[in-house]
Amino acid sequence: MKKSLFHVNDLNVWFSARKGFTLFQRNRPQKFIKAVDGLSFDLFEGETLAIVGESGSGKTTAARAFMALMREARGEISFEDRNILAGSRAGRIDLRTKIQMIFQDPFDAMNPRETIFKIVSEPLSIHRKNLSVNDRREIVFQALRDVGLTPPEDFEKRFPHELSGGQRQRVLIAGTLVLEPVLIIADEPVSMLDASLKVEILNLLADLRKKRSLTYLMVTHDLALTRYIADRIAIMYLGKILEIGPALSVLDRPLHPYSQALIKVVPTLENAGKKKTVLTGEIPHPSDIPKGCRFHPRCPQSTDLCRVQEPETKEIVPNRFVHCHNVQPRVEHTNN
Amino acid sequence: MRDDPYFYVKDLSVEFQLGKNYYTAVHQISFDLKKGETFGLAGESGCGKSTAAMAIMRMLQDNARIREGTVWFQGRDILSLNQAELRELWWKEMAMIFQASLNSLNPVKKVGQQILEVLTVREGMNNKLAWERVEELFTLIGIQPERARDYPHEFSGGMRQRVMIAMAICLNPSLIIADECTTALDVMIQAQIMNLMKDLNKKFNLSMIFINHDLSLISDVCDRVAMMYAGRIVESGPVSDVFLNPAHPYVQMLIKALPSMEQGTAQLLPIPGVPPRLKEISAGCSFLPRCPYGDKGCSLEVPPSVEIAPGHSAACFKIDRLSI
Repeated sequence: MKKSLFHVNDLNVWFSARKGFTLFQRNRPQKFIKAVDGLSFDLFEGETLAIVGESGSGKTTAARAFMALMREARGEISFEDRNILAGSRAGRIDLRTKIQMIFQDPFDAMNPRETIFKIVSEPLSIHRKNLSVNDRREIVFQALRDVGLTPPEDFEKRFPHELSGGQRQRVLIAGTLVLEPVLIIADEPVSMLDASLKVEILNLLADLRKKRSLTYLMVTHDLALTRYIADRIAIMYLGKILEIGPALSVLDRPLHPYSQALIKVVPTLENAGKKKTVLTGEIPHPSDIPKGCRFHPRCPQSTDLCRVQEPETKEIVPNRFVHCHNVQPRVEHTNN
Repeated sequence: MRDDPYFYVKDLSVEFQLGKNYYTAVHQISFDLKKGETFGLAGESGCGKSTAAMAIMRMLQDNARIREGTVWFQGRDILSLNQAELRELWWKEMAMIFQASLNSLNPVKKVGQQILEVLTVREGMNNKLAWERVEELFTLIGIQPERARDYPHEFSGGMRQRVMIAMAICLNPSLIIADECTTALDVMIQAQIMNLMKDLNKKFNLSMIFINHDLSLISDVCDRVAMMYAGRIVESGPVSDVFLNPAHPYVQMLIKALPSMEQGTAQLLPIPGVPPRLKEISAGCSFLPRCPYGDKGCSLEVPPSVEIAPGHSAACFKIDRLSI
């Protein structure tokens, strides 16, 4: 059994929905927007786990909670056997040297007035204040070299606007590397980039994983990319994981009706022109999660049971967990 | 070209003024479109596909101008029309679905009201009649007619995009230009919108120019496609020919960089380098710095477009050497 590096158990991030004229609303029941609602999974050392979901599924909120950036987070998130949520502020700051985050938009994530050197070295000036000037320079240069911005002397004095989208994303990645983290959480790291650049950045992330023995937690909506980068995939819907398992087996033989539908509608050059079965309606608002199974109003296979009772997450085949009443554990792997 | 072409673009060039100089963003692009056909214009960001669309619609921003070319549409050259004639043409004969549906609706007006406005102003309909038409349109795009009395913020992104489509078809145009119309949407919603577009295309025999960076999406909805790179069309033809047997090195490499849902985890290969910026476009083939086959000859002049199979052409000097 691989070692679990990051363990999430029953994580909830509920935002209070009462705002505005509270005076008149005093007697109304407290409403919550349940962005993350009962999320549980393990992240093993050295793997890449992709959390996939549509917008509104809570994947970004979850990613922020993992960094202890969400005050509303309740439940258990443990990293190296320490509960992040229960820890002190100092503990959380220490945590951020070991877990780093790559954000989605390489255009908005940098201060346009700072040089690349300043941007990349900033984590060092916060977390490792007593580093000598030379050491700091060496660490930053090494990070720039690792992300392919060579020679680093050419880049250190430049400003973000002088770089292309792909180069900016590389700078952001360099910034996460300087503290030598164990785990990198990437929130849609390539969704803003063109097709060819996407591959470039993903290949870079794969190289870095080997070179620096990193573990990745990647949040994305792009299923086609997960086949390429992820070891395991978790399909998230309305704040909960509906299916989790090894990437290839989930993509080739999805078990949950939602993952089946989601995987079928991804346009590819192979299925072009074919009529696709599309789920009707949209993902409900997280303030109004359906009773019973949260997916039942859109599910083509829902039964009376699904309307009243929330299913449990069961291990259907080894390492594959599905949150559905209608999928029963099997002894063998079969094509359903 | 047939005797009575429905729509074609010939040698269209668009340039932008930056400071004192003009820089060409679209270089002599040509393509044609038959009635009821869906044509894709694909390429990475900055390749000029949106600029081309705006030029065809005559909706270019102030610092851009059309240097040369013809945009022929139902018996006349759009580029020679004056403002009054253009206003008559827009929405009624050709309409556009814009990229940012979230910003294209007025937040302080009811959604239905915004479509109604087009109908009353352009068609002289009275309010009652126009409202009936709005409700009819809402049914057509799959939103309950009652929702027409809601405001844009009460709609999801997918619904707003549907409203933009309703607005585009409200005066029954025969040509629709859709610029990245699903870019900000999730796959499921995107698939819903694509199905809607396909249905409308069949139902009203609409012709569509579909502009997108997503090749798989283009291959799903379009009959033919033109691939753009640095302002030029580098390859065009039937979708299946272009994507299954790409001839131009750029298109070949771009397709190799696309992750597949069906094949294994084969290594994807990025195209080395970046596309040239507007100011850097050189005399020869603009793909030369990134091309594995290029040589000195490619740097001297721009390769002409050569037909390699019926209806399938590519602009590259090295086509003979490439396996097609």
